[in-house]
Amino acid sequence: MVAVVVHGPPWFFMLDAFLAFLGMAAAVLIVLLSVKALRLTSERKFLYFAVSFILIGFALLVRSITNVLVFLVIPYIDSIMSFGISHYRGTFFFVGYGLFIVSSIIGYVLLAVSTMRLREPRITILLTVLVLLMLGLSSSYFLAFYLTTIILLGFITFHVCRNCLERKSKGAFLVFFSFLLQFVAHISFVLEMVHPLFYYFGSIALLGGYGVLLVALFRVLVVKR
Amino acid sequence: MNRRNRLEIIYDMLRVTNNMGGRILPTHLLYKSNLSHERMKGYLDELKQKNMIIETAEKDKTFFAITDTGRRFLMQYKQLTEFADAFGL
Repeated sequence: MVAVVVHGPPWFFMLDAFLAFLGMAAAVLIVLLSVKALRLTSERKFLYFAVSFILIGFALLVRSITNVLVFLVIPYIDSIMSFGISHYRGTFFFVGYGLFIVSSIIGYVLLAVSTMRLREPRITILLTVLVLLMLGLSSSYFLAFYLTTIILLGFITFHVCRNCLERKSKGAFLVFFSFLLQFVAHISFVLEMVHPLFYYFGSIALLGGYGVLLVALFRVLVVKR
Repeated sequence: MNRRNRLEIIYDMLRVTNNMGGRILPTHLLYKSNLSHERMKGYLDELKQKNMIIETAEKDKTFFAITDTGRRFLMQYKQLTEFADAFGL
């Protein structure tokens, strides 16, 4: 049996599920726009971009489903019918979050690759294999995951910051601000070890990050004719 | 100065036509899209084939008119550039 270690009250995990849904909505919009761009231009960078957000969106979907299952559905079923499935909560949690971690990491690697314009597929494969190997060998999956995403998000944020300074457009600024918030959120998730309050701060920052990203995407969708 | 790619040239030709009220004389299109006659002819053939532009005649003059498909392309291209610029792609 796998034990579920809960950081924070269960109600917060429901908020976490909502947050994941918001991030997923942004990911879906980005995938739609990338596919549109890919069909129009046939440029590989849009393919990488689409695949990276498919993986990030899938990861967030799995995470929110896992949260709802583990903290709402399973305890409820067990309270009305004594099936004893609460014993498997840990397994659900482990599988769900395992999928979330692997899918997110590959998604962020692809995102970093496409924003840094690395055109060599072998570099992408090498980076992915190295990152997954490090995660697999780590004794603390969550810490390794957040440290890796901090590095990847750091590179991505640096790129979108430079782009924002070059373009000086509202859209570029919103994308930069969104990634900055996501970067800060992931740092906060690591600092949660110092004080639990950082987890809440990180979640709020992530909520802001996804919200700003959605605003940036809606601006693209309602572009003037 | 950056060289325009195929999509940018198509966008420029359709934008110019659209800005002229939806139809344009071939000579105007030639100098406004900044292309040689041969290259413009090639692009026009492609645009006609994709039904983005149609040839019309009025008072012994030939015009090129933008179609709904052409206008849709203009919108999609604007969306694409806005999206790519925002993410620095």
